[in-house]
Amino acid sequence: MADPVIALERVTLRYPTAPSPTLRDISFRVEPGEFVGIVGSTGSGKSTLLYLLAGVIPHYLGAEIGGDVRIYGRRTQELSLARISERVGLVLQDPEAQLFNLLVRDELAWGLENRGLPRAEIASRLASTLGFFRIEKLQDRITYDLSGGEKQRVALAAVHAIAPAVYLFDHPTSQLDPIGAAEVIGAVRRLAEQQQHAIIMVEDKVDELVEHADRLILLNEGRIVLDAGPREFCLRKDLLDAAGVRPTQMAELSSRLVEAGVKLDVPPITLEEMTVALRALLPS
Amino acid sequence: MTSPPPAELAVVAEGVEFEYPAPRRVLALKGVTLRIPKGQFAAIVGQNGSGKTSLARCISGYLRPTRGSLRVAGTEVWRLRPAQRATRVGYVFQNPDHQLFRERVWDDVAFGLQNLGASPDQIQESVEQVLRRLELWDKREVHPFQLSRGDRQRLAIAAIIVMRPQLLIVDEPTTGQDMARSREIMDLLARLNRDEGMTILTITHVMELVAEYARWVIVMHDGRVLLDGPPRQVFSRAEELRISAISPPPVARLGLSLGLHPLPITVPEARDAILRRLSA
Ligand SMILES: Nc1ncnc2c1ncn2[C@@H]1O[C@H](COP(=O)(O)OP(=O)(O)OP(=O)(O)O)[C@@H](O)[C@H]1O
Ligand SMILES: Nc1ncnc2c1ncn2[C@@H]1O[C@H](COP(=O)(O)OP(=O)(O)OP(=O)(O)O)[C@@H](O)[C@H]1O
Ligand SMILES: [Mg+2]
Ligand SMILES: [Mg+2]
Repeated sequence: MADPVIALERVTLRYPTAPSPTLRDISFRVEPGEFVGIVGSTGSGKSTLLYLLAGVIPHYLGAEIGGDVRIYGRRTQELSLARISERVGLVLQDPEAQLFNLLVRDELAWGLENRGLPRAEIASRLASTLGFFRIEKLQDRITYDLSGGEKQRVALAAVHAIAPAVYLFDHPTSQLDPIGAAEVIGAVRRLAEQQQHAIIMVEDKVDELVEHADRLILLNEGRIVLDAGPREFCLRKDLLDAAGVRPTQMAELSSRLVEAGVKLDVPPITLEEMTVALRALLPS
Repeated sequence: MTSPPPAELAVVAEGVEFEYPAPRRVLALKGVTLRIPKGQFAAIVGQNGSGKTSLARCISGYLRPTRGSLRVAGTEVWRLRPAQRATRVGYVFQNPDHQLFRERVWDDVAFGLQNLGASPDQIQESVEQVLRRLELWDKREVHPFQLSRGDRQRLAIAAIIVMRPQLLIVDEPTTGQDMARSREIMDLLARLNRDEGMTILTITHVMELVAEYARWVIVMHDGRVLLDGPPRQVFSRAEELRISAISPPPVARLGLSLGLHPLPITVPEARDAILRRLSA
């Protein structure tokens, strides 16, 4: 069998200045075409985990690492950052930290030029990326003059243009308008489904992840406490509460209704499921 | 509806336009007209680039409208000196890093009061009170850039509210915060609103928080106010909201598709509305 895209085996990580480990005994795998969501409260280690997968740790930020981190079967510690970034694209939590070209169109093109792509190919990728993130009109703008959400769209687009095999997203929709956020997460799902990209997305919009991701991983104080499909994830209220994470609004509503004695055989976790279940119950 | 006398209004905007100057010449506000009474807790929502931050910067006096009239508590704030402005209106930036620039947490909070000419004793007392209230007291000696994003966001709020502005504008205060932290921040704004009568204007993309905390919602689209009203009324107009890339919280969408009246906008309201219908 081919190597998984990502394989972590019993990984532990401690920052040099930290008294205790930030990641503890982390193991999971991601296959091509899989979309994995990561949720956890602030400080639970989500960004650290992405840095580790992108090779930022240990190549750029030092840390004591135990266990095994592999990308396509190779240990990231033995690969250079340049080699890792041929296949892995990281979108940072703070878009301003990622943008460093004056003009939007240069921000989008420079990664492609760096990879020596022919001009025609660059032009066609840019056109499709601009449309994908609805930023056609921003091409000639100065990046630091953009609104917060516009900057985030440009940062996402810059990585999307490169089309890495593996996408790592850190809160990619934190400043997007609600429909924009839903569109981006839906579009990311299609990247996995139709083009077999592997996706790991740190995101606190559990409603959107449940709709689109294949699996959700719950981090609590550096440990994986749950790694499950959307339905099982939403129903583990005990673990979610302990980790300070809320399930979808519909999962919450389900449990409130069940508490009040309403009979729901399969507790709905999405709006669609809830609508169907209640239409059957309610007198019209 | 009778309109309240001008003195009771925190913000009055009539046909406000704003253009970012040459060479860019982006017309960010194309005629904003709105009234916000004193003591209101209002949320500004809308599509990316629709002009929310630009409007907030005009209201706070950082930007001068290109056309139209804009008054805060009866005064055109851009005319005031910064020290006069600070007690009328405080603006917390969308990105806290644009606002924090001192060496220690304590200094960042004391800075505004020093500029207002407060006495050392007053400064000591107010800074301590605000830092304790925002759970930053233990970090008062830390360099702001060593704080987590969540702590920096609260610090940015602390640095502004210490000056006790009558109107507080907070631009996306919960970005990068988990749900528990987001609620803490919104609870803090609600307390300032309730206990001290501070008028609150918050910009956000999180409709669950709008439904829970705001009493008035202003929806921006393409440099104008698309619609405004109480959250329940605004969220019942899902079709119009779509124009500005807003979707009501899932429970409200559920309520709309099941025809629940009045429209539930929070989880407990939805539960109650459904239980009522089931027992009917
Ligand atoms: N460079 C560093 N040196 C020392 N400690 C660090 C460093 N970066 C992060 N930490 C600590 O590691 C823990 C996990 O941080 P991390 O940024 O991974 O959390 P997160 O889950 O991404 O949080 P958030 O949701 O707030 O972004 C925190 O306690 C943080 O203070
Ligand atoms: N400094 C600037 N110079 C030129 N144009 C700007 C500047 N800041 C914002 N703009 C433009 O003005 C318009 C309104 O931007 P604004 O920041 O007010 O939007 P917003 O509603 O706050 O968006 P977001 O939800 O993304 O924060 C956008 O088209 C934006 O690109
Ligand atoms: Mg993080
Ligand atoms: Mg903004």
